[in-house]
Amino acid sequence: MPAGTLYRGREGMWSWVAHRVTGVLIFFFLFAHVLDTALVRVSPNAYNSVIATYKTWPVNLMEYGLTAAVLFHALNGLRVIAVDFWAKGPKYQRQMLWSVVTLWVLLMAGAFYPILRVTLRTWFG
Amino acid sequence: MWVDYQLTVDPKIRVLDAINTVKWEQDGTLTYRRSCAHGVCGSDAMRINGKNRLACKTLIKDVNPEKPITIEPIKGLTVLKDLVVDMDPFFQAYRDVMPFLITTGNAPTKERIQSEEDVQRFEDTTKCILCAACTTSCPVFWNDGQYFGPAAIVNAHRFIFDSRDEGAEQRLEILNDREGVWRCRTTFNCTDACPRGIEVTKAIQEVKRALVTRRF
Amino acid sequence: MAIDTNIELTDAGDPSAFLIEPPRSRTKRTGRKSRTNFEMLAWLFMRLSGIVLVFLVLGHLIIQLLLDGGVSKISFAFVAGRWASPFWQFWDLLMLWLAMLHGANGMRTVINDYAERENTRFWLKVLLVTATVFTVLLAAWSSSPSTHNQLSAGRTRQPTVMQVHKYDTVIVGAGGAGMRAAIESTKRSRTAVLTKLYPTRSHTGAAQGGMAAALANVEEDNWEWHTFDTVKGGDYLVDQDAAEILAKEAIDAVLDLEKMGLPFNRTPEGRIDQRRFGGHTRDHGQAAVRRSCYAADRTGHMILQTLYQNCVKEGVEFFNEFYVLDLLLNEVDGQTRTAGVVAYELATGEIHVFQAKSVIFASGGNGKFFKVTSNAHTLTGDGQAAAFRRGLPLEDMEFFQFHPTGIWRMGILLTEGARGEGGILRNKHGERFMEKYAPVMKDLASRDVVSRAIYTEIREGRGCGLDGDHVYLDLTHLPPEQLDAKLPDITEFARTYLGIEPYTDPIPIQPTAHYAMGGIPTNVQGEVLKDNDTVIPGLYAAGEVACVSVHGANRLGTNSLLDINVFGRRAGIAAAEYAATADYVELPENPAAKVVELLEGIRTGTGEERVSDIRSELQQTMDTNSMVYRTESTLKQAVADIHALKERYKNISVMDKGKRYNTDLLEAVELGNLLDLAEVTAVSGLARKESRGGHFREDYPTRDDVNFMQHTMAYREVDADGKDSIRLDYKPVVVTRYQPMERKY
Repeated sequence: MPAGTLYRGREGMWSWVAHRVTGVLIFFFLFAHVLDTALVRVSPNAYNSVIATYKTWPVNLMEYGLTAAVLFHALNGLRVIAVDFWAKGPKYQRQMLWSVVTLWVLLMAGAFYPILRVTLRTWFG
Repeated sequence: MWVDYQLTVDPKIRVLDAINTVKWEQDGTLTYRRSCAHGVCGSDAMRINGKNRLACKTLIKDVNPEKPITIEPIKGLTVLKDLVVDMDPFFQAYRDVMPFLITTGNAPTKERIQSEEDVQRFEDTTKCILCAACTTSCPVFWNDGQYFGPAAIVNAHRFIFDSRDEGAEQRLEILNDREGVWRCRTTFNCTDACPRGIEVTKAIQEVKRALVTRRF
Repeated sequence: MAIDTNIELTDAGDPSAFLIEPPRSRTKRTGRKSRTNFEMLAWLFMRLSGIVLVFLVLGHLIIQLLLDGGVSKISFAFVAGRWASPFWQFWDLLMLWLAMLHGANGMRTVINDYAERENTRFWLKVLLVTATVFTVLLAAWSSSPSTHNQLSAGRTRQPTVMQVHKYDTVIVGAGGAGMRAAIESTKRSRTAVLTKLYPTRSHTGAAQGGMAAALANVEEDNWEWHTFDTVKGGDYLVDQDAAEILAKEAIDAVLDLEKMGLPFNRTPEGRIDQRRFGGHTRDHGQAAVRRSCYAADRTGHMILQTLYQNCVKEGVEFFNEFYVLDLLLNEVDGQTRTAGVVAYELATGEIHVFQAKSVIFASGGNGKFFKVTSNAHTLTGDGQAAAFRRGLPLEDMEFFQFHPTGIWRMGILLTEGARGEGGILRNKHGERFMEKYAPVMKDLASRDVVSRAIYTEIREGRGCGLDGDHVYLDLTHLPPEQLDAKLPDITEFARTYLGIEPYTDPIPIQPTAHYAMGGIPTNVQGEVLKDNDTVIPGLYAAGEVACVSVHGANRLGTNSLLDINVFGRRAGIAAAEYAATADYVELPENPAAKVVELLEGIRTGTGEERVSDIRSELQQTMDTNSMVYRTESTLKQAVADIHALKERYKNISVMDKGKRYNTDLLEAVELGNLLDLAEVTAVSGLARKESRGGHFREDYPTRDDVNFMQHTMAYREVDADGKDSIRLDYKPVVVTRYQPMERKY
């Protein structure tokens, strides 16, 4: 069946899409994270050499991305809980979303230097 | 398959009027459903510029007429011809929630007493005209046609919260299903799409909460 | 296109041999009741675990990334040191498990949305084998969404053999009257309801104001006053025995609907609330009385929904988007009896013959031959036309109601209930002009009186707007809360279609063609008459399509929602009881021939004329010549114009030549119906040299009870050359209680 044009939904729909995308990405990350941490049971060398491959700037950037995903998923998740359990939730869903986004932007701005410290130093000295 | 039509119209007319003009003057094969032309029968739900609306309640001036206006059939139901979709699964979901008053015992000789507050409790969801704009705007429904969908849940809500009805338990059980209320991801497309202004997501939320509070 | 016209009618011991498959039902959902609580628990778990995870995971992130320096600091030594402490071991494991469960359930949802795979398998794997999860996800992801909505588009059909169905009772039309009849008839006989739409699309749903019944919940009232109001409202053309039945059975009709679940507005005591309405009085016209039972300003919507819900409950069988195009009659022992109907299935283009012991027409009105009308596009008088073409008379067709308050130019109805709530009509000077025309009832006089008053104001130069072609409905003095509670829908119409705010702006309105008082003549049992006295056994009609006559020359508001319930119920019971004792009447030779000829003629036509042009010219001439004010010359002009249009109609062609969903073809058929009915209306009006109710002749402005207190009966005659004409006859009015008096409001 042809899909036609993209449905012009509003914040409700796009926040759902973002929630799903971040959830899926985090799940994949978690899977990888469990696998690599399990190497602790294999041998210290095995663990350390794998971790060494992570100590690069692309992975650092991905850490920032991971934080962004987790933070959005968590904050929006709290919003979903409010929509589900608070009688006035559906009525204020848009306002809550904007609060979530604002908070997210602020926190990510605050976390920018702390997380990317090493990479920034490597690039800019 | 897209077809382009050009026409000159007064911007205050309805999109349905424009579609009628196309059918009557340019292309008689263009097929769509319509009846009352003022937003009460629910026949002409369509995707206009990417959003679900009733063609007879949308005025041309409100849909950016300087650019081409895109009109498509609603999503998630099989397209039969042009803008006509198969409404049977939609009506079947409606029937599956037992959308009629269930009472026990003898009927009173006169009317059942019901206060104005009682009526207000479910008044919002009585407004539903079964146009399918909500259900076919739901991303869950697009991917899984087995989901009851917002409209069926709204019509179940109308009875669950009607003080005269005694079938709430049955209906809640029906919706307490993998394909029932728990599918709702609070996307709010339904509330935005409803041409009657029903707070659909809120109604679904109330059904979810009714299920939870009945269990514990 | 050749159609196999040899229909084999086997005498079915099993009637389902002729059954069309009912609309395909959805495949069963989960159906496993043991799992029903699982979904709710999973839903709750996501929320509870989500809250816990917010703390755990954000805490972890903050500590790891910000305080400990992220991946750059990780090493075996670090991890070993951390997990030497049981606390961190516990914390990390809890976090991981919760996150995995939360995430896995989230992924399960994603999979439920996008995959058909059985989820139990997946759920177990997530818990047991995280490694397999990845592969399953990939597999689930790559399955295409389109396969899950693949509902087979059409039902399989034998393409060229005509389908024949046998039912005890067939009801044509699924509006208020049709469904009310179906609820009664389905309990007593095997019933099929044929509708050209879907039931909840019927125009009953557009009715707003209310349903009259002398419940006396709010103030003193009784059914005899209601009868009198109905008779006077109908300008003494009402058959008074029918009016008595209407008023008497009104009370039960309303209570039945309430028991079926209709959510009426309520009084403070919790009883059904009632409000004032045009023409309804106490003490035979002393003052307005609160008789209209209502649900906000969407009473018709609620009635339609409630009736449909009860049809669902009773398991009524519907054939949706089946257009009934012909009525089948046959002579049995010198008596004309009902054999069935012929219908066209919009989805496939196939013809269906329904053989039935009783047939009820409940197919609604025919307002679409006017330009400014409150009627839906689909109200094209299909029932009246089918009956008329089979030689049955149409009664009182010249009486068409013009509702005073339709939205200017658009015709969209604004309920009389607005005036019932206190709304006032004003001319360009802001005067409440109805005080002049109806000193007692003012804006709540009967509709024909108000419509004429509006037109008089406009003609005499006191109309509003640039062209002075409308007046105002003023609701601005009413408190906004009252408008929101009692008139929410019409205030929305004003905002949506006119862009004005009824709290502060008056609404431009003009009379709009609204209701056909005339139609297929019946007696009070709903049985159709083929002349002044003879009934056609097995044929019934109810609702706007019928003329009992309970509305006479003008219908009072809130009497139609009542009419459909009272007479719909009566017809349903009568038809079913008749079917219980009657035999099938043999179908005529080649039952579908007439319909096939009609459809093929249009489909294969190559003429130059366009359906839409002829239709808009018809609507224009009816508006100009046969609307609120009529004269001999305007009506003659109408008749002449219609004749010319009928000639041109022979030369139409349609662009869509296909079989499936050919609405182009059906619009052409509907136009043919409108032309015939418009002609009957104009001819009947021409012959009625008086003014009564909705029929006003400027050349005969008074009521003539001596010559014209009788019903018009119009018959179609076809002469030897195949030319058709209309023959008029008259039927006396049934008078029981009230002698005609001067009609003042």
